[in-house]
Amino acid sequence: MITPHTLNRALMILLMTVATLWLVIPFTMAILWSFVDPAAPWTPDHLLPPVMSAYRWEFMWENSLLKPALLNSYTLAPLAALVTFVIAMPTAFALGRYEFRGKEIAKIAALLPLVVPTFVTAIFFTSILYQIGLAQYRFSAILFAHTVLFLPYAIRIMSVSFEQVRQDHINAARDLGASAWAVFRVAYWPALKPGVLATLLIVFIKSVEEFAIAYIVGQPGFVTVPTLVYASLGQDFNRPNAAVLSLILAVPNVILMLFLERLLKSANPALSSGKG
Amino acid sequence: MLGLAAKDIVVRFGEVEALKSIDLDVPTGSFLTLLGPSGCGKTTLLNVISGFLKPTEGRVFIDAKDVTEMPPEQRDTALCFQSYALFPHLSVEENLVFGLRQQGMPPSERAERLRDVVQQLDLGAHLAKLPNQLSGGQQQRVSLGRALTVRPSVILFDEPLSNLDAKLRESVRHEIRSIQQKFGLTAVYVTHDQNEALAMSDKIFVLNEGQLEQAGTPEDLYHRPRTRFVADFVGSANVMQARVIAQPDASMWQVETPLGQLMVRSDTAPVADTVLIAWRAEAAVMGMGPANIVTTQVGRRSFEGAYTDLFFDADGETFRVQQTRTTLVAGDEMSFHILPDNIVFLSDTVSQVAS
Amino acid sequence: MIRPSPWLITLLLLPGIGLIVVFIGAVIYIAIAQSIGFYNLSGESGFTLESWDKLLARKSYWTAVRYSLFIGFWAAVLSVAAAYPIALWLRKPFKGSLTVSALLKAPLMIHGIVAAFLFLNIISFNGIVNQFMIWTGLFDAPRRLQNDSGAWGLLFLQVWKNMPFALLLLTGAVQSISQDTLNAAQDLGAGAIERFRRVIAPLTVSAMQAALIIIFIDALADFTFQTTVGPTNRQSLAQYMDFFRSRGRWNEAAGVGVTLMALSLAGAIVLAVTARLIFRKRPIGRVLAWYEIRNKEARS
Repeated sequence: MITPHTLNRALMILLMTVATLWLVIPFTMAILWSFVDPAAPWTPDHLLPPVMSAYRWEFMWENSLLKPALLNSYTLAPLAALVTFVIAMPTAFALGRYEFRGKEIAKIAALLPLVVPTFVTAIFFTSILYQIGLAQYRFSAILFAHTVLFLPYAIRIMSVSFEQVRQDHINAARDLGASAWAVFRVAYWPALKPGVLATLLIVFIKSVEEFAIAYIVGQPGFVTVPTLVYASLGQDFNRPNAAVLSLILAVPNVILMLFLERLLKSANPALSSGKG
Repeated sequence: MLGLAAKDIVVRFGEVEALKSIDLDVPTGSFLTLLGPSGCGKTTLLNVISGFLKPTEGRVFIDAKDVTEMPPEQRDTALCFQSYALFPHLSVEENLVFGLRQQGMPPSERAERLRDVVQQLDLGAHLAKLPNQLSGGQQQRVSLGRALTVRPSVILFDEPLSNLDAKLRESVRHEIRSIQQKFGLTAVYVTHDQNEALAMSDKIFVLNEGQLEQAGTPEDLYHRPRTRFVADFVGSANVMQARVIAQPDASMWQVETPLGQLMVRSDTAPVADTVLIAWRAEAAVMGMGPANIVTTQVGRRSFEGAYTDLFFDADGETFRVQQTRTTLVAGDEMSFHILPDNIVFLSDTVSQVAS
Repeated sequence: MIRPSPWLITLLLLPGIGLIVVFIGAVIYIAIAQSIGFYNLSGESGFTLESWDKLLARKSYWTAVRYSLFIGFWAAVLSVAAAYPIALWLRKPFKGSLTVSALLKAPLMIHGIVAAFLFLNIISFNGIVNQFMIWTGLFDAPRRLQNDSGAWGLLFLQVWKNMPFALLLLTGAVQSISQDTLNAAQDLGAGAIERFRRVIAPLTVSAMQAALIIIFIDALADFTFQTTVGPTNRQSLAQYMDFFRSRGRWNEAAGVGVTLMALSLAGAIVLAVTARLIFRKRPIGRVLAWYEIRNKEARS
């Protein structure tokens, strides 16, 4: 008879194989390709690239738009995180601490940016920018759009954090004569802290990853890491170069995501990661 | 005829032996209770019977058919859960006919069965409601009804009353018993509540640490406990050590105890010279009697409503006697006697007890 | 909780919800307005259905609509169908289940464009898949697998990226079903399939709907996967919209944008209602029963 135990073991082995096929092999291939030296192309008759060097990495660093793209992406992201956080705070506070008519409607309205396809948002946002003549301020326009687009995440996480502030802690602190600042520190901050970090991190990651807005609003000339990688997959597809860029986009984000996952779990097990 | 039988059931979880060779016979139409403290293995045994747990060793028979290898969905059992486990997305009606649907019973017959059960349990007003719109007591009835509609060979109860308040518990207890008798159901009932067990069962099976302590009718168990565990668990009797000093006749023994010399009438002989004996707190009769007169001082008094507990110390141990109405208070002297029939020998050896 | 004055609430909601509503509202408004001839960037503006007429008369428009619906529907259904068995398997923790679940959810963390590159790399002409197929003897020579006209590669990538998301939603939902409930169903004679159909699916239908809707909208409006690994003989709606935009044909781009939004909404509703009808007809039955009772009461 097949016991659940042996069944599970068989399934585990099957799954590990599948996981290897769908994660390990693709990434190994990408890493290997990024180290192919142009002196000797990697032909199908070789299991590993014949000559490996960091040439491609240096070349991309020196001779592509990588530097401006990194600069753009990594200035946009922290700014978007901060601005989104600040704008989300009052709404999150209201949703988390107050009971009012129309609260459910407000919660649904907060999800609007997730429901309208981003590509539609991107294209008609540029249309608006042209109409009001602000199309040349690409950086600010993208920052603004990112802020609105990622508000749902910030509002959701922060309002749950505010819900978790316990009224009896606040009352106890006030009963013992605490000042407003002391009440904040002792009752609010401990409940809010993981949420604050999670919000900043999730908006940061989303902004670094965001493609549609950056691609449409940024045309022509404004590059971010995702638009650069996208471009490298286009007409002049060069596999080693694309491999380098893909890894530059993927690796830091995976690390940040792992960190975020942990943070969200500690903040609120029910939330866990949103959509990647 | 046996409705349910389990032979030499052993269940091991790794190193832990949850059930150590249990034998169980339930005649068709009788009500058996598995009684024991939490962790004694009673729920494990229930899971073996219902099929959710495959025993490490042993066989299970329902209506003389070996069902050991049968998955739960094919066994002709129906389980009433402690949590009720009603399907939250289905109406009361849909919950009630769930089992019948699985059997593929035609709608007309289904409706008939449903009508019977609804009438029996008085659920008519709630058929269209969802489970979470019902009170705990109503949910309990639906859970009972859901098990009854399939008319199982064996109906199983896993502490079904533990989430009800005390008053409701008593009325539902009677209801379950009367339905079981009316339909002639073979029932296995798991509980840790000795009152429930005593009031409902044809036969009680006391389990302790995966082993059978004693099986018998409620009266048997209460009046003739065989082990210290049963004496204590079923109605907390007074247990004390006794040394046999004489045997005046075939069924009468004279023993030396912390309360002085006592006479014990028993059909079975004590297992050793020094044994444990047990007597019930309410067996103490105030005033003089033919034998076993004890005179002592009341240590503490506790009024419990229907009766009053009076505690006293002897030889460093505390004993309890129960009186329906008494004016005695702490410090008063009291005399009572215990009839020799009301004292029983326990079968545990004294060294076992000491450990 | 405290009931504050409506003014305070409005003030607090204004920067967040207010901004969202104004921004998204403006986007939708502009898309609709441009599709019917207003806000033209060049030339005269004014109400006209001309661009809609032109658009609807184009074969390529209908191809794009059908194709995007096809991708959206199958991406959503396949992802959810693949995620269910895994979610049920991982319902009760066992040794290694956390590792398995982390591995399965890993694609959530990988950017779509990176995923597209990884995939292209694997299926390229001299890539590992071709090599493997030649080694097994199934292929005589390497084949061109990129941008296959059947969109199989694209669908695979969609499921690869979206299944983990469905898994995330379904795992939570499946885990919240109590073991007793499942045991009760089994005890009453329900086998594995019946338990899924009558208990698990109805109880997780909200998570199923959420997963279907979100994946559907995402895949319907896909641009990056389509332009990197999708078939070259067909265009997705997002690609089609960008095609018009990049040529400055804003009215037609707007028409496609409005189509995209309408299809998102309609598709989401259809998927959600269908899922509910298949797995949970009871609530509707209950509403009817309730209505009947009310009617009877009213008459008597």
